[in-house]
Amino acid sequence: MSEVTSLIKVRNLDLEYDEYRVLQDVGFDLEKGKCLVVMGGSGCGKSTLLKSMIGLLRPTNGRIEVDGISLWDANYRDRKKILRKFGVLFQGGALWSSMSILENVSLPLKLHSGLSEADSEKIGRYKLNLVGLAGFENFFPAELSGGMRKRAGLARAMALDPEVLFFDEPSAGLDPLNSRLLDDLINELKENLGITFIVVSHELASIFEIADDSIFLDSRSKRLIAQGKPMDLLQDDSQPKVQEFLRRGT
Amino acid sequence: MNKSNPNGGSMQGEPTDANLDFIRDGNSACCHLSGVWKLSSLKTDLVLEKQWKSFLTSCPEIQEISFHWVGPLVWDSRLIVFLLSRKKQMDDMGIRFIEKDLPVSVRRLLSLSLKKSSKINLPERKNLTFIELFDLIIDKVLLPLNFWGAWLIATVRLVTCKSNLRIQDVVLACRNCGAAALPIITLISFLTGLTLAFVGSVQLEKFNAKIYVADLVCLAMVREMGSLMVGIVMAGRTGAAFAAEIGNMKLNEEIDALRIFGIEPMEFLVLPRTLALVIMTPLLTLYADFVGIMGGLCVGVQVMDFSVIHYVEQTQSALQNMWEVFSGLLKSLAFGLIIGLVGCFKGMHTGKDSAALGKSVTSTVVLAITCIVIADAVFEILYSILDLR
Repeated sequence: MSEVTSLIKVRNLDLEYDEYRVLQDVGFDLEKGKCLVVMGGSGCGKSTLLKSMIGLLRPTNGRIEVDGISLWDANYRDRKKILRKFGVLFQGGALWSSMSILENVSLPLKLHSGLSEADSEKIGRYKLNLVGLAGFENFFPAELSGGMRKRAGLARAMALDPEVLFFDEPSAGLDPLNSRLLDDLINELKENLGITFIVVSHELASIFEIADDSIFLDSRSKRLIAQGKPMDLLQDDSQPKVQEFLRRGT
Repeated sequence: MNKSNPNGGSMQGEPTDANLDFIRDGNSACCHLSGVWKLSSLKTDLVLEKQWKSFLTSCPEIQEISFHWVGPLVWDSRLIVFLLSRKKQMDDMGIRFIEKDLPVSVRRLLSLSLKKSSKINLPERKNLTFIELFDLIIDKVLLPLNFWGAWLIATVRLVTCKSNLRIQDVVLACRNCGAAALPIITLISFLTGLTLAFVGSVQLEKFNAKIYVADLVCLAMVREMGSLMVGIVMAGRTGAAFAAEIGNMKLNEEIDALRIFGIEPMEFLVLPRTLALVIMTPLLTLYADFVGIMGGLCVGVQVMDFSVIHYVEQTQSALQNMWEVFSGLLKSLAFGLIIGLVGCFKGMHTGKDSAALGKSVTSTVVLAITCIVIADAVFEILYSILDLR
């Protein structure tokens, strides 16, 4: 049944960095409009998996399918089409430091949508409004706080109205209040815009707040060892490692 | 009962320096720890080590040693490190280490530091086959060629008006590597011209040909020194800045963010910078040539008593063929390209930490200057072969 509605399918994925094996035989499905949280201890390959899913790291084996098209086997045009469906919020925001935040948000629009400068700036302002950064359009990334930079990064990630948003540790470096605000924003975007989320996180409070589904990567075996709703995984006695991880958040 | 206090200060009287006492009971022994076991205390570990060793040598049949603390014990990490090395030594010798009579906090820290190392997961290193290793080496060797190829493609796209290059980025880069470099270029080239004039005047005076100092300075500057000095200054200043700027962008994932939006970093970051250097280096060289000649003029007029007009006329006669100037400018064009490509390549392929960024910047300067000197030699050989000198 899930095969029919799955937006993203990952099958038998092996990932390596130079001569280091990071992950092997990872597979999962993700339905449209849901939020999947990728969990695991430090160094288990969460960010590496994300990098491969957004087209930055070629897997040594396996497939990543988006809407039935394999990301890494697709030709240049199809791959570009898939990547246009994605938006990414990097760990530190990764805002282009030489541009104001409005330019950061409107540049992808200018380059990809064929909109005029004035129109792309209008949309850029709307996106910044959406994340609560109205009035900060002409600020440069260095002039913003960590939380604001993250929100600006989110506005940029949403610039092209993506179908899937990838977040790499969105709560890292944020205080609990800002972290909570970001969680609320994710839930609102999911409900109102139907965006699918893939969130890499080990912030337990966030995981329980936003996840519809989750996977747990094990750093020792380099494999995916559990999948399900975080609350279900917490009750599952067959996975003591996952339980131990999640118990700290309850 | 005595109390131990890890933060210093004893509960009973003034504590003495770190001390060890042994009480032997058959095959087992009791080690009494007392005094101040702090990193700042007077007695060195060497003295205690000696005491410990002499006890073990005098009682080789000992099978277990229990540790106790006596009187006021003041301690910090020094005690834990001492106990850890004793435990390791005793484990190697097959002697049992009994810590149950030590303060709870000492026992906890001991077990924590013993547990920690067993929990670290080292990344699994793959055993590479010969072919994989060969592939890896070829990849590393081909990396600069790949980069150069991608730059060529981006340039072709620019020429055919398919590029997303932003003109304001080129202008900004031109300002940073051109106008902002004027003070240092002025100073270096003026002093170069001045030095050339001084060196030349000493030698030419011997042949009563002092006026040819003007020819020497002028030709040396336009043919060689102008472009070379500008190249070296730009490698140290602009090449290093490009590597640091782009490397830092890589560390902050800004380059990944560009790729995600389908923006080619080659067109967005590398092309504007190389283009700016290709435009600005010849202009700066022309300026450096002029300032260098002025440096020579200063020496000619002030030290060698030539009139300004006489010196300028002599310079003009040396420069009858404008190819002398163009040959230097052609070189500087190549130097600009080399500096831009090396700086951007090193920045784009910087490692994942700030130390790697430092390495990238250093190797940019070294590699760019080396390439410039090699290119300079190649140009001179070519000019000579083509009879252009």
